[in-house]
Amino acid sequence: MRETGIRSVIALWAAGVLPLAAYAGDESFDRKVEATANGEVVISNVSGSIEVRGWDRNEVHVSGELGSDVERVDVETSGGRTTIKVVLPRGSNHDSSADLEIQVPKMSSVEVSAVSADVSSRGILGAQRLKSVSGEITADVAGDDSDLRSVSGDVTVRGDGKPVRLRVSSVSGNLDLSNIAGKLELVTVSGDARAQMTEASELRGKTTSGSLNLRAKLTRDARVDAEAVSGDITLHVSAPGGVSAEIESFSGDIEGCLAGAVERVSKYGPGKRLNVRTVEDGARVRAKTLSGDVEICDK
Amino acid sequence: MNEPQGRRVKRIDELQRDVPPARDLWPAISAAIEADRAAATAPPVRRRAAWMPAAGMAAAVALVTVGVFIGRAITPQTGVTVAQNPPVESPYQPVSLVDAKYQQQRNALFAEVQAKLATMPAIEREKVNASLATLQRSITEIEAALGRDPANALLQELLVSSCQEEMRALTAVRDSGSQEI
Amino acid sequence: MKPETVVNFDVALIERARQGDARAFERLYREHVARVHGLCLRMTRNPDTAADCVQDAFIKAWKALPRFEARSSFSTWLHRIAVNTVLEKRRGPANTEVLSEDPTVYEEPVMVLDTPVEEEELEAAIESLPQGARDALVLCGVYGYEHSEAASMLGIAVGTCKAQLHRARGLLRDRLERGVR
Repeated sequence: MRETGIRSVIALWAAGVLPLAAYAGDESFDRKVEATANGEVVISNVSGSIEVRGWDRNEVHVSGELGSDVERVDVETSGGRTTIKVVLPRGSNHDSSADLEIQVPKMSSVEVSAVSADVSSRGILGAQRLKSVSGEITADVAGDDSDLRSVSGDVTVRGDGKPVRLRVSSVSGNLDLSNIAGKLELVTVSGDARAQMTEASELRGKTTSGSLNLRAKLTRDARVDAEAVSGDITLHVSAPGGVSAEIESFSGDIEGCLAGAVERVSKYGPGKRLNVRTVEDGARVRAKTLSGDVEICDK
Repeated sequence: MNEPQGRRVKRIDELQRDVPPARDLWPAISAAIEADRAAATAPPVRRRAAWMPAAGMAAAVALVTVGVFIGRAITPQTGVTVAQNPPVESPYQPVSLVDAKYQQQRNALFAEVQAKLATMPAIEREKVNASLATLQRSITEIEAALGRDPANALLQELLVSSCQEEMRALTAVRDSGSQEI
Repeated sequence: MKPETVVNFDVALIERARQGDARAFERLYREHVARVHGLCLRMTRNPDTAADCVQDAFIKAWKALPRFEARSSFSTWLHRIAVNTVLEKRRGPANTEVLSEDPTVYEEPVMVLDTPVEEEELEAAIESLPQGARDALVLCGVYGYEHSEAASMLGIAVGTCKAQLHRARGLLRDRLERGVR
């Protein structure tokens, strides 16, 4: 770090030219700002990693290691919203990674946008919107209405067993969720998706060629919808009073432990279905595939 | 808005007596007839090992029949042997041929996605390309099945869902990494 | 109105089919499938079941061709096989409802509506009829079979067939909320 450079920065900051807490690229970075207890924190980073942790202070603390090509990290706060942005020079293709650890008020809602940076979050009680292109996402989710997306990275989520609304999607990454309760939507194209729900009122899973493995204790009037084109679907779901199921596959097999017979849709054409009705207005499961197999059990 | 009125009738016997099935039922009938003829004419001692089960023969006839018209519409087919019986035109048309607006949007999105993919590291680009190819293959597979069974509600649902999924995935790739702060 | 009688060129095709010419039988299939399917669809109310019945019926017809008497109507013979196939496919006990067979009440020939209705509405009303009434109405009202022919196809007494038709008329009247003469 050059002294001249720092003096210039301080002078410019004192003159009110630079945004609050901007800092020129350097190996280490550390900055703290005041923040609202339940405000918004918005973070973006191209490559490296982003770890977000909730804490009990009304402050946002950003620290980390910056690659030599990182121009600066902007940290701004205004009206309950704190933004943290890693800025790279145009056409940068050297060491442009930034590994950031960010502590935020635990009731904050957090939004992260990353390209190849891995993203992890823990201890956040507000809603989370985490997006990464190729980085992996690992999150503990407790806040309602969270949305985690990746293009090719894997997504791993752990809930706290309290009902939330959660959507997790990836194009080619795998999805792995555990201890989730409430309403869940899982979408992947070619990745495998696995979810374990302690209490599900709504569960939707969709994949094109990956496998879908859903295990859930359903509420009495829960709705489960699973769809795959060539991927296999495995459903282990139980509900008070039992589960009604409508399973259909064009050319895949249907198996399981439900009391019901798999019948052919047509004597001469393809297509199989399994219809089981155990209770009126009870938990209902629907699954459909083109060529993937379906296994369903209520134990 | 004026909606087209259906045909009105005053007598029960004015109802259409002819209601064609949604798909060609002949292949399965033909297969059963062939199996019946084979059983009737097969030599008593030796059986030819090459007999296909009736269902398999029906599937083969259907696939070849489908291959002729699908090939014309979607991908070039070479060396396809036309079935002994002339193929029947399926009422199903691939969505890419029918909905010009959808195809236009998709093409535009695809071009933007190619530009985005070019900026990705090679390994990631390969993974994403493989997923997008999976989606396209699935859509083609479903459309081929619909060509044989156009009235199949399950296939129709899966097609709509897969086309939507493809658009979602293309949009996700195009918009990925946008720093919107 | 009587059902259409066999056209002359059918005779040659039937003769060739009886001698094992599958292509001739396919031509017969293509000529008659829409009518057979319409009949099966209205009786079963399910497109998949109707398709199965059509295929079964034509396969049975192929096998029974040697017993077909050329002077009879081929379409009637085919419809008889189709109706049999539908009845065999139905699960559960036959409809044993007892209806009054007062012959003076049931002699009306063709059902005419006071005012025209949309074809779709009439089809839906027919679809909603109980099985026995619907069978009689479809065969007599839509396809023009005499009571005796329809009764023979359905395996019921002529009086029962007439009673079912009368019942169908009353129910249609209620459902269409128009006069059905």
